[in-house]
Amino acid sequence: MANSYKEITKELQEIAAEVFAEHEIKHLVGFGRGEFSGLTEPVFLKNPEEAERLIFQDDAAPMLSKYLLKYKPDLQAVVAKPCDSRALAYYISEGKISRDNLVIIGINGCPGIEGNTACQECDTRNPVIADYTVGEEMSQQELEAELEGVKYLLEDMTPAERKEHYSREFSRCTQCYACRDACPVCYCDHCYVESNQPEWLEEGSSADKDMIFHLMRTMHMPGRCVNCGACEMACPEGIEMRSMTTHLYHRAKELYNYRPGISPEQPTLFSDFDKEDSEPGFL
Amino acid sequence: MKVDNYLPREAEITKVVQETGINLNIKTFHLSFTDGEEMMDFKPGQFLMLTVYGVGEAPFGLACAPTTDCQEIIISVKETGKVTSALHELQEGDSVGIRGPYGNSFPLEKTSGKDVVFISGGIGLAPLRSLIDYVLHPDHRQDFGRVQMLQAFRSPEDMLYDYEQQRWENTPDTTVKYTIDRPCEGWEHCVGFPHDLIEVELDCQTEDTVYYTCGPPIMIKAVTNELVNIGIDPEDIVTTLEMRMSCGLGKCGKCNIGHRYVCKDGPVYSYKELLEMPDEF
Amino acid sequence: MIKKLTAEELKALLGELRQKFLVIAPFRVKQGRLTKVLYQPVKSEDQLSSIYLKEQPDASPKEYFLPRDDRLGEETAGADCQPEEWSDYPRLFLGVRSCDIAGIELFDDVFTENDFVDPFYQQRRDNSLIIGYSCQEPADNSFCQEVGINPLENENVPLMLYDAGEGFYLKVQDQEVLKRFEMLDMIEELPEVESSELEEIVRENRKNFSENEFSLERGLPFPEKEAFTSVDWEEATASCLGCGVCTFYCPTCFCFKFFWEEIEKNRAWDSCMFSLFTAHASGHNPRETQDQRWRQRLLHKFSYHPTNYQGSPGCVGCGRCVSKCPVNLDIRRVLDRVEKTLAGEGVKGNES
Repeated sequence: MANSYKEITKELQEIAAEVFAEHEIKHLVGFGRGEFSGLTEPVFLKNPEEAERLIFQDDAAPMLSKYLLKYKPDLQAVVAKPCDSRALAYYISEGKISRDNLVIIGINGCPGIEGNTACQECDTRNPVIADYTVGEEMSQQELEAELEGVKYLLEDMTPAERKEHYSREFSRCTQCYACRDACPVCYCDHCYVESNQPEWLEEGSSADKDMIFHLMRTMHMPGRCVNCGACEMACPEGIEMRSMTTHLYHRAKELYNYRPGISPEQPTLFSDFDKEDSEPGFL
Repeated sequence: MKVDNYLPREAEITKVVQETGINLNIKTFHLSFTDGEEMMDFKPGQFLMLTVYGVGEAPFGLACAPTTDCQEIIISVKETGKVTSALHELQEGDSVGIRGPYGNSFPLEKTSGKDVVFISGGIGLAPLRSLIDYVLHPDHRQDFGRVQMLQAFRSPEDMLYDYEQQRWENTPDTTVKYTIDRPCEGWEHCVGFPHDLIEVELDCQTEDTVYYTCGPPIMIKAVTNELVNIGIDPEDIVTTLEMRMSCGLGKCGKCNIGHRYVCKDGPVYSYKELLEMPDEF
Repeated sequence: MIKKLTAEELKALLGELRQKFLVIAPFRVKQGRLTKVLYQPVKSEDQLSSIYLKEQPDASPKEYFLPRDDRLGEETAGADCQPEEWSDYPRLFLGVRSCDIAGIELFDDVFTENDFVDPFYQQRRDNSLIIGYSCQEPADNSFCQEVGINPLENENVPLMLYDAGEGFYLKVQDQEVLKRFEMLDMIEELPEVESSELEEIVRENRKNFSENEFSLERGLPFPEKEAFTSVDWEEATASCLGCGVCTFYCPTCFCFKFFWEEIEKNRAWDSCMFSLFTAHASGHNPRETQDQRWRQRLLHKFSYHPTNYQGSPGCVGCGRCVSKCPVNLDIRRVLDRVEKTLAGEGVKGNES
């Protein structure tokens, strides 16, 4: 069973004190309540006295893994939802961050995030990598039962229908890049968007150019995207951002039995090419 | 009320001079307006926005002086980005767009009657040239005291305006010194960075002298530090800032340093003003 | 002059105004997982009943004055070229709240200054009439009163609309403007009431605005250099992801860039939160880190803009940047830190 937010919050506060006692960390990255907004926001705790600030709520949408890249190579502790733990495992497998520099507090039996469609099709409800955990583990049986009959976004659509859907959705894009910035695996130091020599993405915000941005971003996603839904949660235009990436996620799973970030030892999708791999095209 | 529609006047490239070797690749462009209207009214130290049609726009400090015989616009351009690369491809007879002039200007009134020292690094000589040509022009020469120049270049082949230097050297009461980064065969002038040469090569008076310096940010910092060290009042040190600029009108926000918009309130600032500004350039 | 009208009468009035104006009003719009309130043109008579005034719109009407994509003209058209005529009808904006009215006034300051007029902005502004709207309760995360804005009344629009639960009041504040748009007669026909009726409603509503945990103690502008150097900006803004949502949704953010399509010169919104905003072609970037960009955004609003415009704040306290931020980074929390630091209470962190 999924754990309650309240229970997780309580355990997090207890474990945080332990983490501070046992490790010389730069900070503990977790979720706290906004002083004036009351909304859940990422917090960077510096000492054990702050442990009681930690919370876990149904609006804890941001992926905290992303911040760890900003402060590496310092030793950092982080509260990791199962999807966050996969992003971390992926970072480690790509050599983006060292396991030795991480203290991971994983959330077992993650109850999910309100409004995040990724949580409905989530196939990782316990952390794949953790030093401490909070909450009861969710059994494989339970997980399978919950996923029984669940279709992923646009699964049953034809390519033509999907294209139509993408065009309609992405036409609302304002190129604020919140999707990219919230995405844990959009970690390039120099995004193609920011390159003007060559200029991969011409300036301007016509529907065509919006679409080019999203297609190019999507092309970087297979084998990386951990299907966390952070992109969609970040989008202020309510664009169904996952409709494209989740398709790639599930195709890689079906075709190559590959799920990104499932273990720090897992080779990346494209470095694991086999002559026998099928190549059916993906959209 | 002044209306600006952000669209340029058309000008023709009348002459292109390859100033340096292709390492630095600096070219000087001479431009004149094709609409038959008057030459634009400008002051030394101002800049213009130049459009390469179909590519984009970039700011360039004017490298010519508004003297009575000024018939054309001169800018010097180092190949660095998209617009400058496209501009370098253009030739005599090609059209470009010009907006401006924009920005404040070198403080002529403050400099009038005083000695003037110019210290430049590389293409930093270009914006200073608008004032050098003004000060050394026969119409204005008597309005200023002694003129000293220290021009720094990376190497002899990277010297700018070698066709003007003789004329400058021959102007009364004017000395021009040149320096390069490293010794080089056949070079008979100074060697070393300009801030190290100030005390030795220039006669730096603390009174009635205005110091103009322009070059890479690191050089400007080193030179101003040295000038202050030898007792020059920060108010008498003048430089021109290079920032990203798009509109030229103090609106688009890119050149914002503190409450100032460099394209409108600058680009010319005294070192005293710079000290008061947030360190963000 | 105060007029009272029922919802039906208001609808009838708007129907009439539609003959003269393109009426732009807030509607509820479904966008993926979100239901938003957005300003949209009224396309038909039936739509009038769907106008939704109850909540603060998700976006201010700024895109109608400074469009996200603005065509300036062919770059060979010359400096004397006039903006294209782009509308046959004047535009009437219904239900604009005080925060967003202040946003438009700030644009007026910037784009129609004495020494500079943006003809594109001016044209859009001159053919727009704004009917203001009195808030009944504070929007989420708003703090308009802390930046000197009165959410209940606003004298800077010719007409102000008040929701009285049953029916509406319309306060006529500038008859000259209404005359210019040839609509004074229409308004004059409506039944007039005593101002005390309306005053009572405003007094009642004002009670909803009394509590605000956040307060801005210090007058504007913030001292430029001191605020720039003394605050630990990295710590205060560590969670910022670097997207442009806050600036795009901000009613006062006006920074822009040009872009070219063949020889068309266009203008689009830009954002000081983007790393490319200040990057030179040479690669040098005066603002290399995200906390420096955050500092710019905050100080532009609370120091630089007020310095340039007689103390006028560059923020209208609408709260959208907080509500829209993907990580709920709250400008009030950062402002609080700035104020405490300036007051000498804050702990100075490492300079980044």
